Amino acid sequence: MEEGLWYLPAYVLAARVARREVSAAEVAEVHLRRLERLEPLLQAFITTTPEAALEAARRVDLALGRGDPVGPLAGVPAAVKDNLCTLGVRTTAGSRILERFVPPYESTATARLWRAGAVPLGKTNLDEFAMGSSTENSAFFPTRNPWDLGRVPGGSSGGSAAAVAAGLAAAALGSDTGGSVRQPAALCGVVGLKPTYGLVSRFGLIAFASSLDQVGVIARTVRDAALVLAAIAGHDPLDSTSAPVGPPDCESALDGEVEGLRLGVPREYWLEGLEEGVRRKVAEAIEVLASLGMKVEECSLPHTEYALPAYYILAPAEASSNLARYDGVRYGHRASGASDLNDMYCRSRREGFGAEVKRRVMLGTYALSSGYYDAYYLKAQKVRTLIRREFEQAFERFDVLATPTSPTTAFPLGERVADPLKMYLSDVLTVPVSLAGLPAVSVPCGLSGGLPVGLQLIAPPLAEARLLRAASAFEQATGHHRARPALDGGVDRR
Amino acid sequence: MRSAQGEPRPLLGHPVADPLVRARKRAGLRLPGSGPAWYNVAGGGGSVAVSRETVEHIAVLARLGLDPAEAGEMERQLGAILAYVGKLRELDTEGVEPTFHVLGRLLPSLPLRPDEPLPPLSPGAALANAPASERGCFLVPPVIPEEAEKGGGGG
Repeated sequence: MEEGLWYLPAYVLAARVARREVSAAEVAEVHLRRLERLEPLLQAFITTTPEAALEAARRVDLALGRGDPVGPLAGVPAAVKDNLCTLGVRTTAGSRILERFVPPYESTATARLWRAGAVPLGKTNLDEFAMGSSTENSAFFPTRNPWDLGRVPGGSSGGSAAAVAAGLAAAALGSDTGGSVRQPAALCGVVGLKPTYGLVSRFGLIAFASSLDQVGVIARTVRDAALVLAAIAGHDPLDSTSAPVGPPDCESALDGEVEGLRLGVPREYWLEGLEEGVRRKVAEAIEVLASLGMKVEECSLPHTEYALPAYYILAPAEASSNLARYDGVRYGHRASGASDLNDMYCRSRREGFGAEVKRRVMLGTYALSSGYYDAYYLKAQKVRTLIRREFEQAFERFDVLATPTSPTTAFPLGERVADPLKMYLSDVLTVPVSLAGLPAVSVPCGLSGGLPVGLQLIAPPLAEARLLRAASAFEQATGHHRARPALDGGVDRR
Repeated sequence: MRSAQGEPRPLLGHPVADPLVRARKRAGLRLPGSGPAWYNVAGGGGSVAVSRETVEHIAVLARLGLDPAEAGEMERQLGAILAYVGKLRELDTEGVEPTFHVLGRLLPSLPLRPDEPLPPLSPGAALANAPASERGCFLVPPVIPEEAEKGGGGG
């Protein structure tokens, strides 16, 4: 058995499987054994599906044996965040209220992933309903960061990021509402891509904040992220906000030139108190981009500091509306002993939702309640316009913007749990992009104190090809994506 | 960036050991100074007064049964969060259009799908996750409390 098969990029695995240098079944078995060994330490998965994985891998091998065409991800072991509905496979959204929910349908993003030949390893842990920045709000257990088991993997797609960083999965899907793909990718030292709002169908993604939610990709190389995006993106008639465009041709765009690209560095993202190691690594990254021939210039996005307060009105407001469906009638947890229907609603929701979900439902209900709508929700939607316009103006002068992804590296488990506002501030650098619906990617840009730092690159709507070309050039020039956690050594010592 | 073998090669010909050695030779690159403190953008940790009555009213609207301890905690935390989001009042948004769909400008008309029937979920599949069902219907406790005889809940 080849050592380190689990750290090969997905595109290399797919190519080797397609050339029949290794069987898809062997690749799946290697990953499942690694998963079995490391999962007790990391707790990245809520549900694993080893039988489905081996079955899918056998189908790939049979097709190749017959000489039939296979998909671009044939044999690639993939994990999926547990808020994407999977037909017949329990989907919890990290919540007690959906602990026993088995979807009768498949999300569009996962359906396309499997159609491309990916092998389903299981469903990854998340903050309940994707509300959080550390995966500690999961109703089941926290996930550990592979770089330091005493620290959080970030969130809310923390299970997906940890699984990819530890070599349990070659790629994973997540969802990003205010940074939930980019921030955990940064904290786990992997690539996290949030596409343009509407580029990937939200059909079957358990709704949190519908005007912001977007399915994203977590992978170990930019090329892998491009490959997965191409497989899952493109118009879907089942999502009325799906952009009427085809999947972007990112793979070939990766080979293009970056010389002469105009790179803007917005000064508002260089916060006072930005961790020193983050500041240094991102500054070095920008110098590398300059050395590749990009024209780097400082710029200003003055409304940046209003993005997080606007987000914490809009996202809870939409969540309070979306989560009204959990009433204990058609699916999900129902409390026993209720005296009447209304009592059953209240008891079921009280028992089924965790503290952060209740907090956001309360906040959102308050912001939408009679007399407050104009002052909070409408005001925030207008501020959103100011933030969107500011980005539009910046993109008249620049092709790509560069910022840090997270103000800190991975923080210790428990550090921010008691103070919701402090946890919310973890997203301060990723939320503006979400409000503007822009594509952005976090790429590894080195280690600080042994922990990964992420560089966030931002592009105009639907400019994923350009975004990934810049990210790929950076990756190839530095090789930071090849850094690995000392997990295997750590395991051996235990 | 791909060689004949199909494997990517580094953009600069080889992995750069210390990219800064090269980068720092380039003159004129200046990086920004500091903005606001990231941990302190809340603006002094103030609080908006949210009364217990308001918390209880909102909990009724949201159908969340909060116990007294949760309600007290919520009172304090909502106050702090509302003080933070109140920062938006600093901005003059007179005459600014709200953004309800973020790609509205780029994609002015999101297409509706043709109104064609699709295969529906079977009744069995639709009911499979129901906490209680009977004769093809979702079963719920009595809607009007007075009519409840005994222990109607739970189904």
